[in-house]
Amino acid sequence: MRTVAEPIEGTEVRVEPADSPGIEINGVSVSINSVSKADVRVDLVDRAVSVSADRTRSFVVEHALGPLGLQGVTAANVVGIRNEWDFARPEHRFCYSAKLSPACVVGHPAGLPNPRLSEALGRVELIERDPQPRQTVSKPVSFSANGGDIKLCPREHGAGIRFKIKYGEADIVAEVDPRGETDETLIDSVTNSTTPYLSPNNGEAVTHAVADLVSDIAVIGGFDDLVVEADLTEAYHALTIGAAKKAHSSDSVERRSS
Amino acid sequence: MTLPAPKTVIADARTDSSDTRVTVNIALSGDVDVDRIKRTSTGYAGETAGRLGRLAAGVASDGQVHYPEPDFTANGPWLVLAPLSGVVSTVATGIGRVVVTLDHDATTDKQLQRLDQRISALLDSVRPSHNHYPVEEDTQGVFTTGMTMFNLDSIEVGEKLTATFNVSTTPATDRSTIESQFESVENVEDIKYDQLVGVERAAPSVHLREAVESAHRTVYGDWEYEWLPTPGVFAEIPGAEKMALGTGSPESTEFSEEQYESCLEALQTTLSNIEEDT
Repeated sequence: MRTVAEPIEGTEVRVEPADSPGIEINGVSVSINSVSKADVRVDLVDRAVSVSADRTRSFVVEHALGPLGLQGVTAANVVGIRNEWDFARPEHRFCYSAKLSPACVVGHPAGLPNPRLSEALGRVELIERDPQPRQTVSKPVSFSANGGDIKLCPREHGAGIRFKIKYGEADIVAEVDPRGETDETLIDSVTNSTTPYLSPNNGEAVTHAVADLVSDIAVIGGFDDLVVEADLTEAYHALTIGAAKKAHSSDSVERRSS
Repeated sequence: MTLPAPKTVIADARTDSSDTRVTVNIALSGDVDVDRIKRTSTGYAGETAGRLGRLAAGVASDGQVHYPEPDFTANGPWLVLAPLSGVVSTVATGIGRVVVTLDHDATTDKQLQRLDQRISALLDSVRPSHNHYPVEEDTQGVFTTGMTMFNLDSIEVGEKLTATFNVSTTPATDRSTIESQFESVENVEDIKYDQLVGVERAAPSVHLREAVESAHRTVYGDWEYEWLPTPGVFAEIPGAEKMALGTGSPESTEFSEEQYESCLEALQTTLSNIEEDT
């Protein structure tokens, strides 16, 4: 596992070291089973609690999880630190209505994959210990949703994830190792690109999408070595989370130690 | 065809209002103009078609519909049917009115260009803006529902130039935020702001909240909250034990059979949840 040696802060979040593998957001373990919403954004809840006690929801988690995956962090406790309302944000209105704190919203206010967090992660010492098995798919997994298509294909152990993403007329190919090192120029470009809903063009949107797919497929889905081919449309988290869910539910996850 | 005839819905809603055996009250956000609604092969069509469709769902449910006027003295929790597209609400925005007076005497200053400039400056000052979001193009209220919004009501030109704006308010709106909106406008003499209806934030019990949230998770797979864009009957209902729900969108002039069924299912599941836990 790789964790931060000391706490760091990004926009809206603080990232603290973890003693065991895995990432938590506001105390909820990040996994495919904790996803409560996946369309224009991804929200997580603690499935162990009943709905009435369900004040565990964290909103727009992809903006925190994307930078963690891009920087190869596999163990961390992410804590929301926002304490002021911005009611222009639908997620803040949700929290105000449901008597949740604004700290539940860990997404970036400008729709960015938290460049300040990514920079801090790039500077802080990462502690690596207790190697964990890496995961791929045992066979190709295809999924379609909201007019988009995605295919997850097996890849050799330790190769990382090759993303081949298309959004409108724009496309991008990116190599990311969610348990290791990824090209800094790519990380910088991805984390400074705005979400498709706010992007000035599809080129920036597809660059942003790399962080979203790292979040959904690698960090939430738990995959490390894949070739991912995705043709994205609106609300594509239904597609990316859906594909990861399908891989898990169809018994297609392959764990491999070096 | 599941949907009843429009006039039957209204008649049944009035009858339902007198049934006081049921302890969950249902109110409707807005009036229904039944004479201007048609029942089509797919649902209702007309300016208030959505209200009629939601009212029909209320009548078909086991709750006590209050129509046309709610009896605010009734016991029990309240569910307000509103065009919420399947989400839930506990908050309604408020309403205010601001009158801005400018030192501009049109009886002596005949230059229309200067008058035009002053009016333009006023309108520019209330145009919505945000550091990150395209709020000027936000026709769906994705962002602007949570912003202090100004809507020009009238302009009077005489010895003074007086502009009156209706204001949609949020919990962040106060007199100073209203006044600061006009800081950049020249020749402002006076700003009078009145909060007409405050933001209404209900505080329903865990019991009611769970019943509504669980019902939405059952019917839609998730529960989400959004604010009501106007206070309406939700703000008038006294007490904290109230929530709003419903299908359809505010501007739509059509309400489908699917929306009716979905609204009824969410309502009925909510009522069952309330009854189970009582």
